[in-house]
Amino acid sequence: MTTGSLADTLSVEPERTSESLLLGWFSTVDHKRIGILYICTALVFLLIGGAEALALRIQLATPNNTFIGPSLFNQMFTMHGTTMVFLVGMPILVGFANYLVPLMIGASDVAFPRLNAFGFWLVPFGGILLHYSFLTGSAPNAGWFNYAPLSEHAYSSLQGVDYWLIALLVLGIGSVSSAINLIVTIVTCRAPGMSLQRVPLFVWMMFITSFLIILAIPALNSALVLLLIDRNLGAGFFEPSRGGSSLLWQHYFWIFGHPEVYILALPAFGMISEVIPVFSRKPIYGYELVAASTLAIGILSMGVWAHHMFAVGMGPAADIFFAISSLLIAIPTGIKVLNWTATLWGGSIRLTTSMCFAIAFLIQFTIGGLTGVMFAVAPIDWQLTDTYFVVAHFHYVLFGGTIFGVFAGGFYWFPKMTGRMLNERLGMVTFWLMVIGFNLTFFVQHFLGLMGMPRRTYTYGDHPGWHALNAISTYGAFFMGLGVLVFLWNAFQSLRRGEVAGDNPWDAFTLEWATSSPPAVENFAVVPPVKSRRPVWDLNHPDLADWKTGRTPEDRRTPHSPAKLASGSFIVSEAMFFLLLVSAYVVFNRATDEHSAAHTLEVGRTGVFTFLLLASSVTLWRAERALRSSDQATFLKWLALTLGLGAVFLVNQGIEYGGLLRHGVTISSSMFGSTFFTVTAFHGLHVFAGLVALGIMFVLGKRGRLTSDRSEVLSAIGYYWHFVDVVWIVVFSVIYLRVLA
Amino acid sequence: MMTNLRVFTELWEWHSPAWWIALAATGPYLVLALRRHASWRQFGCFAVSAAAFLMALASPLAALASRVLFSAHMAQHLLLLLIVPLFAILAWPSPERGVAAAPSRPGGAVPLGWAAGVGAMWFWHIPALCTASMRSPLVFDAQIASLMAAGAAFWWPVFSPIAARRMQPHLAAMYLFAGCVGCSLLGIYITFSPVSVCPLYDAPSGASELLNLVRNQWGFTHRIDQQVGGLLMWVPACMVYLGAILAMLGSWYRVPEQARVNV
Repeated sequence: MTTGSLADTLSVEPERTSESLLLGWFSTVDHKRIGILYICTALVFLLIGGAEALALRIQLATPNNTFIGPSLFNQMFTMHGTTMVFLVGMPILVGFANYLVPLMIGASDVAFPRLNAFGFWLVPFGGILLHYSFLTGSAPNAGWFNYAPLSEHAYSSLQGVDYWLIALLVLGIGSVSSAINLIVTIVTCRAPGMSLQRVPLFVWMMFITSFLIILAIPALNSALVLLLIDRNLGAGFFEPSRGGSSLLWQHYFWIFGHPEVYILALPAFGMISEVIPVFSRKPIYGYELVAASTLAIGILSMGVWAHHMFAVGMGPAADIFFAISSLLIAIPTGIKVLNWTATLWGGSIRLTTSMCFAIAFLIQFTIGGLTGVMFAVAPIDWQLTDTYFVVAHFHYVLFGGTIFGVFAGGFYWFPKMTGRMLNERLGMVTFWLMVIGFNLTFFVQHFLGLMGMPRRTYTYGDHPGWHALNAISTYGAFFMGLGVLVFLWNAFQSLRRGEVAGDNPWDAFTLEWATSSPPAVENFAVVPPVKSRRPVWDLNHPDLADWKTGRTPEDRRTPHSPAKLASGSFIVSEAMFFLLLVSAYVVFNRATDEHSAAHTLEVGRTGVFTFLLLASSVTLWRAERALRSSDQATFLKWLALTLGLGAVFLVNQGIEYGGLLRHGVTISSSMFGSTFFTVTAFHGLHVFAGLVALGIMFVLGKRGRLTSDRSEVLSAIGYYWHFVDVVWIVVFSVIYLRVLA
Repeated sequence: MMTNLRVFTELWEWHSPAWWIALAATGPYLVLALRRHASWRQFGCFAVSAAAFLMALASPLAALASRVLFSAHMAQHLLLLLIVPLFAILAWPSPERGVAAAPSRPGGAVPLGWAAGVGAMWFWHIPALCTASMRSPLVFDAQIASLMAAGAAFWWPVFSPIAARRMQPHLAAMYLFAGCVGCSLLGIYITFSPVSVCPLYDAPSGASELLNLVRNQWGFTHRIDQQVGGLLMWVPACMVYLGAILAMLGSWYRVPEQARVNV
């Protein structure tokens, strides 16, 4: 199985008709196939997003151009940004992670293969939904961060924004599910000897990224549902004229948006951390520092979102604190750049295409990082915000950084994924087209920004120098477009008649190279012993094995239940979602508002039903206990009681809603109504989901298919149920008891 | 006229009992530390702890906190909750080997410590209690003592002098991250809340010269003052937790001595 083409090895069906091959790909739950599906989907959207970028650049090539008008221009830059972030960046990185993480840790698959397939299929679904908006008369046109109130109904009355909101919700759910899957996989599926302190840095960075995803995406989701409610149910969360706050959108969006930058950057850091050591023939310099600085970046990135909002006037105190904490991120990032450089230092460097992309990444990402440090200083931000300097900055980070990292990773792992080498000569053509094109396009935009050229404006006057710089930028974009086409041609040709790769063409270090290329369905016949961070190096160079010269912490794991771990990660994600919804309630329901309908709530009655809901946690706990001791009848009795209590709670909520509606308190009547119904209805929805899950448990138990040896499934749902109760305690305290008022 | 220079030279509270407490703690510490052969680092930690204690209770910061500035009051709390107990624990020399033999993981101390550390901060910023602590010296003393005790309870499972009683580093990192989240939430609330968390600071009485300086020369309106207080709780406090998390990660990556011997 060491040779063969992609189609040969990946189609495991006995009959290799084209129909079964297609069905095989559609119905696959193999992490490798799903990884490739992610990558291919992302490449399709890369072509779409790239074409949109070229249209923008053609429009901007000359002053006062009329190639595309202002309305289409707005749609194009919105779709370009959204597509590149959500349909190219995230899927391609998650795709590589899907393919590589199980191989790198010596696992046979991810922890939840079917959840994995679910997560993937939401990507094309979300992507098609987003693009369907073109047929409604207008694609979304309020920018990739969709600022309110521009994105509100009054200013964007067509349905484009609604499609944007729903598509992003769909994609967000997919991202969270794949992140949970990766976390559980990395914790529970590692081969013996593979301690978490020994995992390849790509795995470690995906681990941190997954936590960022489960914490950051719910912030976006909460903003999305609030805006959906604004637009479709008549609430006014983000409409200042109705007591709402457009700044709240900015806060919520950037609570997601800043970690998102690292969600897109960290996996590329991980790829670079694999590529540079292999082609320098050295272990990475300062593994621990690279890993620790990743954690530091992850944590810091959660607390600095407001540096995207210097221009809104938060006051000098907030500006200073956020400037300082944003500047601090330069430290762990700088540590990484120094470590990569130190890995290169004194190595016997092999300038393969992959390595060239990695080195270009290093330089370009550093430039993007340095302009980022500039933006952390509030006065510079005020001067340059919303100019092309910003565009240059984040393209240096996300294109010069992330996309170049992905190319480095692509050239490096293509042989593993397909069994064939990419053509190096065509690879270098791609490399030079991309480097020249990228820097032509975006370096000059720094100057345009300094000259004051505003971003997101469909044309510009014939000011001195603007035409020439913009023309250079447009030429550069076409170089990059050509580079992508050459790459695709290279991939196509190499798949058919590329040089056969063999198991380990680069003499690389990590476990994915210890199996055939492409790997068999079960990944490994035998997983090599793992005694250091470079098991395959140890295997191939026994005299120079890493574990003979330096020790790394042994594998001392305690076994974890995948179901409970997944439930726990999901709860963390949900907690973030509710935190922001409850925060919205707190923001819009001040203590001083004496006329608020909040005073009409019947606290005593709801108190009784709160008690019943909390009691249901106790009954569920008794049910779990009974199940564990194989007392099936008692288990079913307690579970039925739990279901009953939950249902009673929901019925009461329905009655309470009825009363409020009769008094004219609706979701659109006041800020109280909007926030009250949103928070309690989402909680109710979660109770309902819990009831469905417990109902399934009940039916399985009744049929005798849920027995004590599978009790951890019930425990995992139990975690969720207890969490929903805790959320209600918070909701009850804040809304009914008004503890924060 | 109150000037910046006079703030830093004249507002030291030389009559504060804090000096006596610090002095009283130093004697027994030195005896214990010398008997157990404490390292220079541990002596240094004790000095930091004592200095932070005096800074919080006897320095111009304390004077500003007690008279005019909510943000100084917040800084005082952070020193007492995070810095003083942390460095006191780090200064504590571990007992002789025989005593440390019992290899018990911290267990119940973990949720208790977390709840104490995060709860104390939330508790003392309920407006009524914040006001009470400024009005009554007795409540103020209780506040100081409880903050330090809560801080000690929080840091104990992480940095206990007896290595066997510490949490495992990766669990400790999560514990600390959760602590960071808990404090950040309060910080964010205080920063953006239009409600005065400590209403007495809106218009402090009886310190007109000092008030004039901080309001007019430093530009600390009561709004900005509360914002700075919230931001202190949010950003620098989290940096302390982050530092501790990185320390945990460091020890997580360390190969235990025994394993090295076995090579």
